Amino acid sequence: MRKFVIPMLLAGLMLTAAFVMVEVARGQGFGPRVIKHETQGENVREVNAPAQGDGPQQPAISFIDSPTATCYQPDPAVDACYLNWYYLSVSASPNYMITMTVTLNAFGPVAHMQGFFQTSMYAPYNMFGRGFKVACGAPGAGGDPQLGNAYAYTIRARDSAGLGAANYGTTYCPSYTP
Amino acid sequence: MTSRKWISALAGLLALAGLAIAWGTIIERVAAGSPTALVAMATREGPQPPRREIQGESESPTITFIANTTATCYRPIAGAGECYIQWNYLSVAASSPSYIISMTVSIDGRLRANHSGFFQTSMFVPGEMYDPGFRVTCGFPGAGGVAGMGNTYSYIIRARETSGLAAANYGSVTCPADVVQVFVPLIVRH
Repeated sequence: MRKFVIPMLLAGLMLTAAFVMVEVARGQGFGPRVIKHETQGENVREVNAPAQGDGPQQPAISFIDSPTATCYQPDPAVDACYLNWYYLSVSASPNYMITMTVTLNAFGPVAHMQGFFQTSMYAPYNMFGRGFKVACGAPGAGGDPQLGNAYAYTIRARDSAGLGAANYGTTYCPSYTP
Repeated sequence: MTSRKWISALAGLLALAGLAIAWGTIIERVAAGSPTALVAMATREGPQPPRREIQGESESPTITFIANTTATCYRPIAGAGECYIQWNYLSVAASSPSYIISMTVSIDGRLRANHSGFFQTSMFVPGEMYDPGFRVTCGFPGAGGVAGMGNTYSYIIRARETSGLAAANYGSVTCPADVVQVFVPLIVRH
């Protein structure tokens, strides 16, 4: 009896592993599938679909537009800089925009916007007040000797069809010299 | 007697040399001045004529001149000594397929704002993005070379695009005069 059970158990395990491998190959991994991807220097933007399901070849969600990442130092006597964008914009017509989130990688999410029966989402710079307050940093702290700290950021958006868009970039602040 | 004369002559020479060294040191210190004096000296040159340029090896550059309209220095509160430099807007564009990489604002040799492009062929920065502006010291009347006005600050705005071309604007802005006023309370002893 024992001779019969052990091979049966082994065969069952092998079959389960085979099914899992087939599923992973079909979904190309566990993370979301990248549909569009562009790189420019340190900047990356992409559109992605959920790992499960076929997903569209022509996604309705646009790239996120996040021009002019800005870091400025209002007072040279204070180690305080403000980080902002000219605007953030994304659209998903005819689908609805669900969310857009701004994350400063060193601090976590700093802004979260939620759609309300809207096919596009637009956030101008003045929606964030003066911007996000960060430390300017010593000269060269971010790797550029003429500038201060570097802040990597991620902006993500999601639409009602489950599609996502993401921008990854880095902005450098003016340095603070006491 | 002769040796005494020689000693007196030597002492006189030494005294003269000492005086010369002391005088030289004084002149050097006055010329160098304290850091504050240096800023004042630099600003006494008066407003600089505006200049703009495009740098790179191209007959038909794909980057525009930077537009930085209405350079303003204002004093919001009298007696605080604080002024703010502001522009109506800054703007620059590159021809497709080049992207604008960056635009920076430097005031008095210090970099105060850095803008990074993100897949964009033009860059527009409204003045309100710097609200309330870049804080500077207003200065005493006449400090910047303009009668009745305060310090004059030079600025440089630079922009760069992906094909290697760059644009730069050089200018200056004069602030209203204002100094910190400290009011000491009058205490009357009964």
